[in-house]
Amino acid sequence: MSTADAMRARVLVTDDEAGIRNDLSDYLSHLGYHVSVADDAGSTLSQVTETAYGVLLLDDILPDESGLEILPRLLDIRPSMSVIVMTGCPTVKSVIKAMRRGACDFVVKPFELDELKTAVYRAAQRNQRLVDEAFRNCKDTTRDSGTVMNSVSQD
Amino acid sequence: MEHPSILVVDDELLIRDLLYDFFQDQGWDITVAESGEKALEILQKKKVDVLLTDLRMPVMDGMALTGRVRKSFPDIPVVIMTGYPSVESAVSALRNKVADYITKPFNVNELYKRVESHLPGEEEETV
Repeated sequence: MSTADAMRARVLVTDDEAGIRNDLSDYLSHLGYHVSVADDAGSTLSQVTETAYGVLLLDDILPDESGLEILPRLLDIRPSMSVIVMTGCPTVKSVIKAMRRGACDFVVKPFELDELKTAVYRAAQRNQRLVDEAFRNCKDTTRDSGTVMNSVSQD
Repeated sequence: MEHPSILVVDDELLIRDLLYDFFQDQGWDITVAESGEKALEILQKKKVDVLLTDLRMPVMDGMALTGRVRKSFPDIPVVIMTGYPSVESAVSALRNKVADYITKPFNVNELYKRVESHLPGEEEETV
């Protein structure tokens, strides 16, 4: 996948701090991503349901539910979405939880924008790879069912 | 899976012996290695369903071993265990697509549950 392809990914930034949301949104938009924002768990769940985001930057501490709590539900809705968990209070337990719940990356605040740029790019590539795999599998299944149908119709 | 296979890599004999006896009792085909280099040799010759490796080992540590395994055997889930957990190493494990990160000392039954959940076809247990 080319750099330009990765940077066409839709990115959702969830953080309850308006300053962080806006800074990240401006920075990632400037890099070429299509960026939306959410400020709590509820609106993140509804936006992910409505839109096929490729990458989600998810703050752990949110006013209604924690990011790590809603992570499995988000991935049930969008299994190929790449989730980067962000936190200002990292612990080994929270990283393990993020890993076990399907996050693909974990960034500690305050972070360098270059670190974030790399993490989002890697996450977008991962998402594109998973989408391509799903598409290939879907095509294979359709082709196999076609073969079965042909063989049934010939019997 | 009837007799799943596991490769355990740890430079501590005590841990290798403990896990060898435990996994064998559970009906697993277990192989042990005392170093990352030895583990790579074994992987060239033997099919393994899960790799369980210590993080801190001389010469090739668990993360370096994971990197080599990811390149040559991308389908083998790697579980890291460590007595020196840190946010940095856990994040590095996550970025290297490690399946799980277990801290020592561990309850062997808990470790078993975690390892088992990464077998192909098993539903991963979330926390």
